[in-house]
Amino acid sequence: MKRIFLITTIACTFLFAAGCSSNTSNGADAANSEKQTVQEVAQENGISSEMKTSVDELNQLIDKLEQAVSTNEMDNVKKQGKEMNSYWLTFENGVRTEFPFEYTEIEKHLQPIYIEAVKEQPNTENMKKEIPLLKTALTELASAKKGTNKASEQLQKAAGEYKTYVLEQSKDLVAATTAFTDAVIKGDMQAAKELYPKARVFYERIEPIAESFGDLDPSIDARENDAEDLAKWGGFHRIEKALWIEKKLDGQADVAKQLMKDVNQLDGLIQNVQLTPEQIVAGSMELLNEAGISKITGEEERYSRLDLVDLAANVEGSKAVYLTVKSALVSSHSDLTEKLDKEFEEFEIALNQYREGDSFIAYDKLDEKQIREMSQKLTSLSQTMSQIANVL
Amino acid sequence: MKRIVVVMVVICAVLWSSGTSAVIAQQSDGYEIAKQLVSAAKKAVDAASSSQISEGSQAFQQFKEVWKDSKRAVKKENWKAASKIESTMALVANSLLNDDRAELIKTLEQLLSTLETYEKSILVTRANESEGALTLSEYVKSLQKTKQHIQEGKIDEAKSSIEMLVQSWLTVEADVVTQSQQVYNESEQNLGLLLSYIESNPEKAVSTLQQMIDSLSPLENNAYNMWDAALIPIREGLEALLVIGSLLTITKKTNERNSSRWIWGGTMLGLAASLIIGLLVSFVLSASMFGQNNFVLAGVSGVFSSLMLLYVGYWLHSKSNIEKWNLMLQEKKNAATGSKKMVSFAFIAFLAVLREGLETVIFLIGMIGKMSTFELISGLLTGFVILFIVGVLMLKLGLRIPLKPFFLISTIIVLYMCIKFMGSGVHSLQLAGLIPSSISDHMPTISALGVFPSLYSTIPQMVIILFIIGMLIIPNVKRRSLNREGRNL
Repeated sequence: MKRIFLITTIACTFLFAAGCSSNTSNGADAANSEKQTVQEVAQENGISSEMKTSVDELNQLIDKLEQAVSTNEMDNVKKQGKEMNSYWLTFENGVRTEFPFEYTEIEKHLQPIYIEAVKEQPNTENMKKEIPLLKTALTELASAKKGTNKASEQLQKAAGEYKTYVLEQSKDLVAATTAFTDAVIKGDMQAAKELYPKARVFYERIEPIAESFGDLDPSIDARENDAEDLAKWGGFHRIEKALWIEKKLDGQADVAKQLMKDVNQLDGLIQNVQLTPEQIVAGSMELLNEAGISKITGEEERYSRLDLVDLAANVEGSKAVYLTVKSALVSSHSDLTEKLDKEFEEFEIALNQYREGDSFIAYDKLDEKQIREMSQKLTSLSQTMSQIANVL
Repeated sequence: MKRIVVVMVVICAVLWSSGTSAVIAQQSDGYEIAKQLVSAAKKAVDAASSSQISEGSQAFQQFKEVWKDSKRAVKKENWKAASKIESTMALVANSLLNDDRAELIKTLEQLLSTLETYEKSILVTRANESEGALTLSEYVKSLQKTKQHIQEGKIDEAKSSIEMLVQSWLTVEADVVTQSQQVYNESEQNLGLLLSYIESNPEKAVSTLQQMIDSLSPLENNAYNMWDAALIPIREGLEALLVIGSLLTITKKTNERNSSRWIWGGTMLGLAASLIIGLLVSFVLSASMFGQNNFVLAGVSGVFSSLMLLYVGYWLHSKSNIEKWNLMLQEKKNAATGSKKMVSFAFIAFLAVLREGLETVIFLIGMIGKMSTFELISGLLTGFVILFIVGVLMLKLGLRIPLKPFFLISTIIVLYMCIKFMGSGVHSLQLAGLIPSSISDHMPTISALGVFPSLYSTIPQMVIILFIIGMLIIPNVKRRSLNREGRNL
């Protein structure tokens, strides 16, 4: 019996050996990705050096094409257009499998250029428009990263430090929410109003982490228009409405209890959360974008008008991430860190004008110009932060 | 013993489940979400550019609601894209606060463009993950439909289906480019030209579409499936087992204890030789002698396998079917004695295994580049599990296989493989440009049998069928005439 098994095993091995290498069409891809895995280990960050060389080469061909377009040499335009396309074909497979988003963006601009170039009468205006866009797309590919990169030790350490920060915020959130919900349950309007912003700060600083837990963020932080069923609408903003608009806390005790339960659950989940450097940097950008999309517009705290509290907390949370990764960047990208330092500082100065005691003035007291100024600063902060994400 | 079976079953189950889970992942609705986002962004762009800034603001507000609901899914799919979308949204919000309509339109268009890229990139990702084979034939069908629309003068419908063709090209292009760079290049260019032709020159659009259909339809997947692979070890293994089985029966009868060792030794040797030959062949074929062009490799190996199968599978089997083996065994049993007999038994076992092993190699060569590694391996494993079970039943429990039906089925399998190899081999050579590819509209495509609508592949297939029929009839005729002669004498 054993012998039969042995034979089967041997035969299996043999078939495998023959089968694996005979499967060439799909095998080519497999071999490719295998190669890429090897490079990934060698390279760790970003695209493979081979792909990088190809991108450089392609850029040079595009330059030549651009040259031909600008001097209106149609024969040369055709020739360079074809050359550009055939060169792209030599490595696009790898790009497609590994970077679908960047790949699509490149194709979007490369195809129209190529099609124009091979037409009888190329429309050079179209080409002139697309060429810079294609170059941007290639730059993005060059700085693209895979989700599974191993980060440097320094960055891992940064992620660890940030985790400590998140744990602290979560602990403070539990404490502040306890005080706040207790006041609500007791029906103490005045105390509740004072305690509300104190709890919000801790939540807004680590919002992206909370959002990563699916249903918890909607149930803690949903605004009235986010709620699917108004009867079931709960969380901070429900109580906010009761405090500032309805001016009575009837029926809010249950909402407060549920809120406390959710916040405790969040705290429990946060204890075991695993954070990668990429995630935390993405989170810091998210915080800045969030501030720019819905805080500076005055949508978040529409009843209490405490939008600036949230806004400040978002930026603080984002800065906390930045400070942990800064040491990993400062030697190689001092230009970026200097820029970010400056922009954070400028934003803080702008925001500090509106401080009032340990809180901020109401959103509706701001004039258009002041809002615009902060919005502008937030956008540039977010742009600079996205550059950080690219060089990590 | 039981453990071995369990391990094998577990291996198979793991392979299966990994296959199915890939399918499930593929069905996620990320694409639908992206589509909703794109359409919401489109509305915002339209609103901003066609009317007041307040309308644009309102539409962007609605977009934000959609975003809020889909953000998590997008982040999961591609966090970088999510980040880019949000950064652009912040720019839109900023332009709204600045009451700057031109900037609003610009940033909204930027947002739309990013979302469109994201939407398409999902298709690319999906195509990367799956085989994409089915979609290619669907794609060709859409090409035909579009052509029909133009011919019927339904230009508007044609326009929208061309747009769809451009969009869904992303899902099939990976499949096309791995098969033929030339076809890929042409098709992509034609696709771009279609949009300009449809307005100015419908005739030209029709001929461009036809050109695309002609070049793409040969690429439709004619791959072998898992059961094709499973058939190989079952068929080859059973035939070898039959020989080994009868050898063992004989030695058991003669009560010679050592003899079974000799037989197994010969079997092992046969396996080892097959393994070495298999490795050699796979080494030669994987060497870069064929370059990047898989078609030449797939074509040559397909035609070669088909011919070899005809030769080995039919000629060898007809000369040495199991009854003849038995006859030979009887002679050997009587003639040889002692260790000489044992050596000859071992040799018979060796030959039997080697013959089946070589056939297996030929089969595998014929399937080169036509099926995924996963399907090949799971097919082979399934085949081995079945073979193993049957082997146990035969050798341990004395199950007897009805020889006649078995050989009939076995011959049919060879015939089937022969025709399929020939069809897809010629087809690949057409794609490689070594044989002119002409497609006859009135001929059917039966991919399960490797039948393609081209005379270049169907004629050799007919020849194979005629050849086999001839081979089946001639011996009978001969025998009959021999009988007649005998009677006459």
